[in-house]
Amino acid sequence: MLSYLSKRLAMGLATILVATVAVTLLIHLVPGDPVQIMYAQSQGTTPEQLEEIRARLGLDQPIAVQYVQYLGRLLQGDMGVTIRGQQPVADLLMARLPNTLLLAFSAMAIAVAIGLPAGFWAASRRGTWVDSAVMMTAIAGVSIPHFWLGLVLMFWFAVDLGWLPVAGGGPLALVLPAMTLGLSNAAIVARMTRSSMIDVMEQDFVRTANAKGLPKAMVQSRHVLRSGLIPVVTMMGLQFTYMMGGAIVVENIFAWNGIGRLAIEAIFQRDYPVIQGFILVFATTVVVVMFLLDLVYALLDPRIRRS
Amino acid sequence: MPVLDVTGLSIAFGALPVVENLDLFIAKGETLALVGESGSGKSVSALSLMGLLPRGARRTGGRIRLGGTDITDLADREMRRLRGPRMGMIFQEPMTSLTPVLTIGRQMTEALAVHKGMTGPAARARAVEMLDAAGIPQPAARLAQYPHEFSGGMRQRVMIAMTLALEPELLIADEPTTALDVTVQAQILALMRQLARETGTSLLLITHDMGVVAEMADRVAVMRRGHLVETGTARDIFAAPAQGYTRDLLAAVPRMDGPLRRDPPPAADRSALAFRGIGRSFGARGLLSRRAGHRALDGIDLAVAPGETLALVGESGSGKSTLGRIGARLDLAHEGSVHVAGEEITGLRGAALRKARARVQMVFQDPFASLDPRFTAGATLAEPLAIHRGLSGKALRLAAGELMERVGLSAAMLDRLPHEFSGGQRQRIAIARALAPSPQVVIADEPTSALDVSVQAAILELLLGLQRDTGLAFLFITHDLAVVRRIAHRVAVLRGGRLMELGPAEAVMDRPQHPYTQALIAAAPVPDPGALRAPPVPPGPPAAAGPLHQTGAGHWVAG
Amino acid sequence: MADIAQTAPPETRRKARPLWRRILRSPGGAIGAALVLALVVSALAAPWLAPFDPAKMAAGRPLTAPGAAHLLGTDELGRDVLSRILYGARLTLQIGAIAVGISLVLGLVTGLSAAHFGGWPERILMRATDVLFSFTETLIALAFVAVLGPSLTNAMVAVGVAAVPFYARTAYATALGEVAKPYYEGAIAAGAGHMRLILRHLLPNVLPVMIVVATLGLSNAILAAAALGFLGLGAQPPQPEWGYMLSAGRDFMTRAPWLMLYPGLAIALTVFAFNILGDALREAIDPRSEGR
Repeated sequence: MLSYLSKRLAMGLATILVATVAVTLLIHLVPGDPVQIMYAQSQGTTPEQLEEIRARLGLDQPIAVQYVQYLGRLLQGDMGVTIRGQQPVADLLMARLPNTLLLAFSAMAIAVAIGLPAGFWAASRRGTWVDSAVMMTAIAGVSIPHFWLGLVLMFWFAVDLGWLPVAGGGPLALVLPAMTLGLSNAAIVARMTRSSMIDVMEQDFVRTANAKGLPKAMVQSRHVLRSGLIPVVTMMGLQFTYMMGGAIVVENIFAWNGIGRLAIEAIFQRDYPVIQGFILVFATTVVVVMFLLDLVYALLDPRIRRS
Repeated sequence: MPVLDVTGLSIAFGALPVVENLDLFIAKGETLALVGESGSGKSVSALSLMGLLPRGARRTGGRIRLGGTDITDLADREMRRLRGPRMGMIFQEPMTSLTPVLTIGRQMTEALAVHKGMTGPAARARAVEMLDAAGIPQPAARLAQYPHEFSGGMRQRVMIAMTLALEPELLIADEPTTALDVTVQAQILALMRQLARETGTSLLLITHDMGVVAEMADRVAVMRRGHLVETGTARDIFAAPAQGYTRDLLAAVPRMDGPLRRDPPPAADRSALAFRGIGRSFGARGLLSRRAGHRALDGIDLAVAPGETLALVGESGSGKSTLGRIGARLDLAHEGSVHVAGEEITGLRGAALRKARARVQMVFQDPFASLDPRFTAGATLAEPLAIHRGLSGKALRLAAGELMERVGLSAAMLDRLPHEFSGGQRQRIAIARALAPSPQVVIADEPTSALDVSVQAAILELLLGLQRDTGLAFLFITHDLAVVRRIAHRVAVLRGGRLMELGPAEAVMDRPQHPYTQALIAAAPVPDPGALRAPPVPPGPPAAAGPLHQTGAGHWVAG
Repeated sequence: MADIAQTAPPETRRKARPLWRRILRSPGGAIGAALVLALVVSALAAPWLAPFDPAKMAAGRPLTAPGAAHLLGTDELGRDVLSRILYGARLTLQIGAIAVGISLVLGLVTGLSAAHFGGWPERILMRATDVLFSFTETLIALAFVAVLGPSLTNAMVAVGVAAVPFYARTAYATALGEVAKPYYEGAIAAGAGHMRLILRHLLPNVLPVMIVVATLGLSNAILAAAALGFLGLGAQPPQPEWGYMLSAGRDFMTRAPWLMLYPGLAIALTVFAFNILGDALREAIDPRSEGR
């Protein structure tokens, strides 16, 4: 188990390391002069000021030096300051990250609470009308863009019925964004769960369990569900990345104050320090959550736990 | 009253009938072997008795009585009450037949709880007792282990213990030893015989292996293409088969007491294929792990002369296939060198390697995967003909047609795709592809193991004929000693990556010197119900391998 | 149960029905194909089908409700929504084709080379793929747009490149199965060179799986590009891209809900079409996956 986890950990660290390199290179890949582009929107910046900014961002140094400097500052928790307002990027992102995580995990809870039982139900009634109905709903659900679903929900519950706030913070304001993200991913969870369960149901050991004359419910709950849930845990990792990705869009619809909303603003304003910080924080979050899920996976599967 | 009485059983896949009008009965304590080649419907019939038919299959007629009760139309819930305590089943694949996420103890006691109301210490005691009876050492400690911590043979023992713990009247065993090595097979068969005798359980044994039938069965039922061909006592069926099909089937079975190959290989002054000091490890690489890998091959010296067949014999994990692949340069040795017709091919690369490949060709086990599914027979043969013999256009087509005829097919079949051929025909095309570049040696890795015996006999005949005509050398990799007798001039026995014994077929087969070779030969089933059977010899610890020393003319033994 | 597989008598082994007939026989395949056909027709025939120039402002009064003059109403600048949606089909197909083309080609090159060559090329390529995969598609696409700047072309490239790790993994996994089969080694032994092995043996046997992946991937790419358009990072005004139209329409949610309804419906139907067509295709190619 330790060798499995150490491999996973090495993989995660490599991902973060690659992210730091990518983030350093990013600014150089921008066509044209990044400093000029960054400040194009603010009028009246003199060439001298641009030079000074260039020096402050370290852009006049060789790229390897820039990377080492960036890494050094990063280790001290310094991600630079925003172009406009000169706020520390790290503080800005850290203040917003909890909101994004709250949204992502609430949405994941909704997606799993709906998708997992639905997928299992469909699989256990494979080939019946229940199966067809669940799968048709799921495929329709997968096809509805979450940004559209978000607008429809907003129109309905907030604008028309007035039950929930259109935007902002607080627990009530979480409901719509979490529903939007959760509902569109419930369909994906249902499809994956069903296919994983059907895979398991066709395994030889399920036939053995049936040949022993165990009641159907026991075969399903003990032999099928337990084995089928292990791949589902891996799937959760993928789900979490969808949630994080979807959160970027949903935060913008509902003005939810997370890192996704910050990132989109930063892209429009060409605020590269924020974009760099966002990429790092996003990648690190995904790596950490994936690693935790690998840990759960290793504990669930005796073939890994006892190796 | 028979334990099982089946009348007029018919089964269909969709509209396609696969079993028609099958009658069977089994008396108390009796072992009935249901025998047939692939497609005979024997496995489906067994699953249908258990009410475990796969999706898409359904019973279309007949009645099934178990101990006098008609169970034909029982509902699923009632069938579940019978499965386990009245009839149990064990399957072919021990590696996948146990639930990987539950302990062995849990899997054994859950059925005891459901059917016998045994829980807690009583159920565990029963499980321990059965594991012990099934020959599993330290049974109490192993209850807490998971299936992946057991070997294949051990898992099959667990399956037997688990099934017999419920004391069924009828045990159905579907090819229970087909996936196991012969030495393990002998032990499992002995165990099943012993436990069935002690408990008075009737046994329905489904198998394709006439040797297994002869060792186990009181009576035999032969099936072919969904129909019962013949049924009778084992002695009668083997001694005086009434039906032509049964006679052909028995005649095709290679026998351990059959004649050895007599024609000597032509004299030659150099070898067609030679291995010198071959070593190969697996799993040694890795960024973090610096552990020494598993030694798959260790110091192998072997040579095959032109026109000779050297049989490379071993069980799973012996390294025999790896050695074959190294010989064909499909895998690389970490130590040692490979020589083809005197030239070293170990270090060749690029164009030189491709050129050298013409001289050593390979035939594989699985006829269904041996041919590119998108290439016609003609395109498959054209590839080596164009690359190595530079043929094109009409000459190419002509040569491909000739190859087809040499392997017993016709040039008219050149435009067919692999799925339009049977398994045996596909293997013939694979042989033709190997012949195409006019090689000096062909490495055949279990080329007949996936085929029915009747087809197997024809393929062996083809290979022998080709060798006589062309003076080809064969390195014939197999686990089947009866096949070895039929085709080999010399035999090499491999175990755990080391040579145990090497010598003329006659010497190794009739006067084996190494204990492992002796155990292998003793374990091979003999298709003769009257044959005297020694109790299975455990193959002993693998450590008994020192350097080879000579014991007779060309006969070398390790230790 | 080897003997079940071989139960089919030889005469049923003759050539199976053509693939497209098998797809069209399944209800999902038929509906999906019909919807895709409708999409292609509207894209190709937009100039004849559309009642107005999609960019023409004040084709009607701004924010006219759907009715006889404007079947799907007009937007805030008085442009005809139906015309814009029909022309939008062109952009959508273009986005799907280019993005999936990029993913498919790069994914196949990576996956097939890794599986064929093995050794260190395999380790480098697949480790890199793993790292990129855990970056997630969203992040890669956003980083691309952040560097190159918002535009429809950049969005297509970003969406295409972002999905490469997934395509590479699938191609690699499938190719690995083929490379291990004896026919492949038989071809090596027959003296076939690298290019021949990859192009003649590996590619044709991997392609069916990849075509299914690409069909399902079309829906993914269309969704992702529409999301970028919605955020303002993809198509730019006045392009009649559906995602962008949707986001422009949200400011008039209460006064003109059709601005939000129809582009959303167009995206959903298109994605739905490629999804069910992909499922039907997978079942036709691999009958064992039926009902998965």
